[in-house]
Amino acid sequence: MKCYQCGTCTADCTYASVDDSGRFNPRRMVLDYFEKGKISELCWLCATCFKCYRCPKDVKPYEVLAEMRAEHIRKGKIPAHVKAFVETVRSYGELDEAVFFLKLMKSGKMMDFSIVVSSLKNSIKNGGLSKTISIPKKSPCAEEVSKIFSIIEGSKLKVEKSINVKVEKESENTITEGVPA
Amino acid sequence: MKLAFFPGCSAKSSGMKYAKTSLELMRKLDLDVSCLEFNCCGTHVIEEYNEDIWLAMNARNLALAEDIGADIVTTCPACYQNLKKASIKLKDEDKLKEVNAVLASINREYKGNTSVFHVVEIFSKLSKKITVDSKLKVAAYYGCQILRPPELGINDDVENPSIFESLLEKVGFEVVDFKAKTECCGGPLLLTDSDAFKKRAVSIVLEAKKCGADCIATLCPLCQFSLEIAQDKFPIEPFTSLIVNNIID
Repeated sequence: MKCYQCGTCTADCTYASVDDSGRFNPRRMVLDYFEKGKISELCWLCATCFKCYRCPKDVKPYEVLAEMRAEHIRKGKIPAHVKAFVETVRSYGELDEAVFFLKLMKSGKMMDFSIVVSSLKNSIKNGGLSKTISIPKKSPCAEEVSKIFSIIEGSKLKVEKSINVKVEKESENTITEGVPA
Repeated sequence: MKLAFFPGCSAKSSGMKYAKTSLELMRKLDLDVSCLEFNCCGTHVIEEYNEDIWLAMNARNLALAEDIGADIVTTCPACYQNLKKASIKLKDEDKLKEVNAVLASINREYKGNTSVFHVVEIFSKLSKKITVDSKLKVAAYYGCQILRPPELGINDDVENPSIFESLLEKVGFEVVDFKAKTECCGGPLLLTDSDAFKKRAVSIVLEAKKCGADCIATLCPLCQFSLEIAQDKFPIEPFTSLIVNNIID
């Protein structure tokens, strides 16, 4: 392991600086990942600010945490916000914010009420009421993006079936436990 | 130089003002800029979900610009980072072949010729002069992804960048020394820990006040959204709308 546990990543970490519980510790997460293969559930709390680029050993903790998230996804443990994001982009070709939030609410994810209200106020201010409550339209790129998804996901399924690997169905993904709502 | 404007997904709602004024400013400066049918850059979310899909989505965007002989200019640092990261990956010939096999099914091909810029880079290079009439003291806020990680950021000092301040000063704003200029706004925490998000976003605004600023100029639609919804007293403006609203014609 390249990491010599200096803790620069944790000292610079945006989320660690505002996490009162003190449970978010990239130095520890990197250690447990390399020594025990532990894929921490806490990786979903990373703000992807890349402050940990200052690592003197060039371990790139931001890439280690990204790999942890990818591993959770491969195992089918996908948090609600990621699922809503992927589904929105898959069918609309872009992240329509209204569709994304509707999907998120439908999934039962608890949202901070004051954040929902101020987001709504903000989108009315910036986009106007008609945009905020209008029915989302698929953009012209939607069809092409959906096709990219189906081709790549389709060929992945074929390969996995041919080598007789048990395929975990992505539609049955569970919301990752331990990620705060 | 021919440019294709990549407004990013937020341009249709939360980032509308930033996208509109960016385009307005580019047209005012007589830049040859086109709007194309781009798709989402995917961000790290799609990249972590399925890297091949992420790469193909970005290759489609790069191909669209290439088809009209343009380079991409974007308002969003996350789009900037993803498009740039993909364009670097596609310098590898085998990767490019793989991706083009997918793109063929939608009748597209990427040859590897598109460069990616952020609007700040474009505006700071211009020789045509724009001037604003304003007494505003502005805090120039970079946030994260336009600078970090350094291998994907703009060409500036990652610890103490100056491109944004120089641009705002050149057009006539007074710029304050803003210590939190490269800190994270906490935006991505909105969905995972809203208390932590608010604490972080408010601390950025308080720091701007402490530095004597009248407003924060943003260059990222997510920073703009985060700092605006975390509080409603201190003015937060996309830098392009600050310029457009105060420009002397």
